[in-house]
Amino acid sequence: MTPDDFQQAWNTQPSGIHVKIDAKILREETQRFQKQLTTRLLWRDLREIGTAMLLIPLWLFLGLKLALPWTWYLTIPALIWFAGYMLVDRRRSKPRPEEPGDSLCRRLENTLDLLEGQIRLLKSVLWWGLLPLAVPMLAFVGHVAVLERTADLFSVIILWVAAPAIIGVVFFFVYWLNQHVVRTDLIPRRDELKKQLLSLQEESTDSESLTSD
Amino acid sequence: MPHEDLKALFENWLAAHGAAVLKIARTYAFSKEDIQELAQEILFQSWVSLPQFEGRATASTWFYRIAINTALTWSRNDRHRKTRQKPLFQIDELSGPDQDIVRSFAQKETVERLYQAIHQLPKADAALVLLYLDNLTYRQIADVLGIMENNVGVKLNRAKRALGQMMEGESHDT
Repeated sequence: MTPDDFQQAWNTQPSGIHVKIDAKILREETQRFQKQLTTRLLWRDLREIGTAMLLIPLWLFLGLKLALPWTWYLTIPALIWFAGYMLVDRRRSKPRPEEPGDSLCRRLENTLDLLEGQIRLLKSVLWWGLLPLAVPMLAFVGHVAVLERTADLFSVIILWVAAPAIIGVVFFFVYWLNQHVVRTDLIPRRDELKKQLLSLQEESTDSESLTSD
Repeated sequence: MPHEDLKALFENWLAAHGAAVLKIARTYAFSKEDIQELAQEILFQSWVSLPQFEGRATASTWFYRIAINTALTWSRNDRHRKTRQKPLFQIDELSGPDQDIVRSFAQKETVERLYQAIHQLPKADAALVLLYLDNLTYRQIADVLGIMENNVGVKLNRAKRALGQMMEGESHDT
């Protein structure tokens, strides 16, 4: 069989479809879809940045209420930095808005850009996100440990060993989780997309051109 | 655009390109249920995109682009779709061109094997082959995929060769 025979067989399939449309359901679904899209975009922006911004008043409140030493407040600039970095990065790597009628290549390029940005952000999360937050927290614990150096042995162990260990474990877990997502989800998806895009975009070689129909 | 006008435009569109919906759905989904769901999603995405159609591309190019983009990003477990209470569209296939029973059976078998072979191709190649089988010109294929027209022939040749080998392999197996 030749490819043209395939084409001929392919065209014996039903030549059309009859679609029954319930205008009311469709209108409701369209509204729901558009509402969900707006919520999803808003939620994506609010999730990390909003959480960081919400922690600032909480930090201030706890600091004042419990009369904590000044090192407690070092975390506030770190939280502002965290939210600011996310915001700037999102603006900087904002992709061109997708249009429904984009060509396949264009759509793949857009998705690839988004994925590359996300991979870059998560790969470097230790430097821009976790360390700037962990350092002031450890500084606070260290400061309290120095202030409480005359306390009982149990408190000393908590302050010098348990608290830094807990902070370390939590931050390490967050780091591991981010890298796990990059390794098992984002990179395979990026590679697959790259492969698809390359297979579409690669230029033909002369020998292939000569043999083409 | 008023809702009724949109509906009329959509129906005209379906009359011209509706057959492609199920073909694309069958290319990218496997089970009967998934094919129906993907066809629903393609129709829905076409519907919501319709107001943005500005006529820069031809209607058929636009339609194929939406359908292929939807199929490529379609996920069986999409939460939005799962919350739908009932199908948005009732889709009925119209019968194919008349021909004798034996010939029709053979063609049907070939089509089944074609789908099986296309499922094994990389997704982008599957789109290329699908557009070719649907009789689109090289210019139209290039427009849908966003590649150079002179590249279509070469890629298509390669994809057709792979398809031919798969079909050949299968016919030896059966």
